[in-house]
Amino acid sequence: MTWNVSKVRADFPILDQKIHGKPLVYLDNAASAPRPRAVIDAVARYESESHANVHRGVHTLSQRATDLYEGARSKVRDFIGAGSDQEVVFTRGTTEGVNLVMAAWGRANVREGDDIVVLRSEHHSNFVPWQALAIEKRARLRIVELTPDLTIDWNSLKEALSGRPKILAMGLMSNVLGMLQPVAEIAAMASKAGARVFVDAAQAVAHLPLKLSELGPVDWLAFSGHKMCGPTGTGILWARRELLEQMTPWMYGGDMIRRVGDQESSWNELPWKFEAGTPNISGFVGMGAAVDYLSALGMERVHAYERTLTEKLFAELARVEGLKLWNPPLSLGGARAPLAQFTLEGVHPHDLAQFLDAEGIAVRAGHHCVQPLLSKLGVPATTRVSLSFFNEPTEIDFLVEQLGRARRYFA
Amino acid sequence: MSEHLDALYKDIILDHHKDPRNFGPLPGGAHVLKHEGYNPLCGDRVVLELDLAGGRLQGCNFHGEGCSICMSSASLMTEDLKGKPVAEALAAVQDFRDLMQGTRPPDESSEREVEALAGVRKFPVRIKCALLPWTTLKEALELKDNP
Repeated sequence: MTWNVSKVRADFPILDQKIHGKPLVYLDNAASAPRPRAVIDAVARYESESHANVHRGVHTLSQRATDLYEGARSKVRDFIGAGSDQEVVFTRGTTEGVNLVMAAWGRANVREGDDIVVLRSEHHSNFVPWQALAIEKRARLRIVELTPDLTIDWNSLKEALSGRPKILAMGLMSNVLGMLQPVAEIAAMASKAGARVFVDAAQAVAHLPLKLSELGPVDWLAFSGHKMCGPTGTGILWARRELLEQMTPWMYGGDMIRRVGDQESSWNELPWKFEAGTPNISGFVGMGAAVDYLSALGMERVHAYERTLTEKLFAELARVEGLKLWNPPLSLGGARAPLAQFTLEGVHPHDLAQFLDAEGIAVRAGHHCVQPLLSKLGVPATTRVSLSFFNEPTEIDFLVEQLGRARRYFA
Repeated sequence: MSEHLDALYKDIILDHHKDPRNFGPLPGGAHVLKHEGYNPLCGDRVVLELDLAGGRLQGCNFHGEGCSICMSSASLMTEDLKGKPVAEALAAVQDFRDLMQGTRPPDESSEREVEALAGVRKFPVRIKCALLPWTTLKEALELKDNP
């Protein structure tokens, strides 16, 4: 395939700098992705030319701001293949999406003795809200375990769905394991067992063509703008209209109301029923630009190029002495995020991240907000490298060379 | 190696990381005071085992797991404070906190090896790593009076 990586790199101004005198090698994309010039410019242009409050005024600026804000919604709708703009709720991020569903649907539907099902590999943001709901409602939080090769244990899933499952919450791609979960099969099982299905697509959205029609019987899908080259403080919650209509608001205030009386009020149309207060307008203008940017690159092509990076990354890491990977083997097949987490014998992840930073390499060290998984694996912390479509194969070579040096330095 | 990194990982620190002193359980049984310090954000864990007979740190061992800054800080601390009266140890904890938080400058002329940790101050996110053994000691010594 042809992928002009140096041309793509040039789209990201932040990459063109030195850290401690060394060229920046940014390998922390799973934490947050950099912004292309197109997104930065769209936000700056909006702030300089079009800012006003949305859905409020008759005046020209307000109309312009509203068009840009709602225009971003339509772009997201097409990007994920949603049925209508009404099904695309703007949030602050994936975490808010989870909390919204927990508060607006979970509190009304989960009862004492019910089961809430999550996967062992969930990010804290798709784990703690459900744990809190389980405690509040005296429901049971049931955790689907992984097999030794770190893929889903189907027997454990069956067991977890055998009681009174009300909802199953799962990440589409774990932020540390990286493989695409067989979501259609899992959702079908959960749905058959009577559970609603919530999908956290925060990682997946940046690496795959995400089409709702291919995910099976999924009820909600949430993701964040900043993992897909958009601004922080932007996120999407998708659900079908009928379901969103059944859900009560979870935040009250301006913009989410239709009529306010002395003693009671009625709610605005979808999706604004869930968007109380003045939203992050400039953020969503940037989000719209990010969707345009990724669509122009083509998510199929992004995924294909990232696959070559992932294969090289795994092959090179396997050659590092004392390195242990904590990812499902690539030989299992299936789609991946271009990331790996590992431990290096004799070198603590924080020391390794510090050492790599001195060489200009940005990686993440720690528990990566997946304490339930790392505790189960018996690893207090790992180092994670997460790539993107602007990374070059030579950056992997440089990383691996520095891993060897770090080992000699500390161990 | 880069100068930037050498300011943090001084030879003394790497030496105490590779060859920790006073590491492991303290022999002595019933009168050993054990106290654990834990930083859930990074997983650093330090267990101190103290023998406080006669109001002194007669024995001061540690074990646990963490980054080289945390482990070497624990090793350097035990070397620095072993045998000292409890009051002096508490003063040393405060002095080390002052050093880390920048309220006292590093003492270039000092022969105390713990001064090597002064370089950590340039790496704000690592200060908590260096402090963990010391705050754990303070907790242990205060717990002794108010169990």
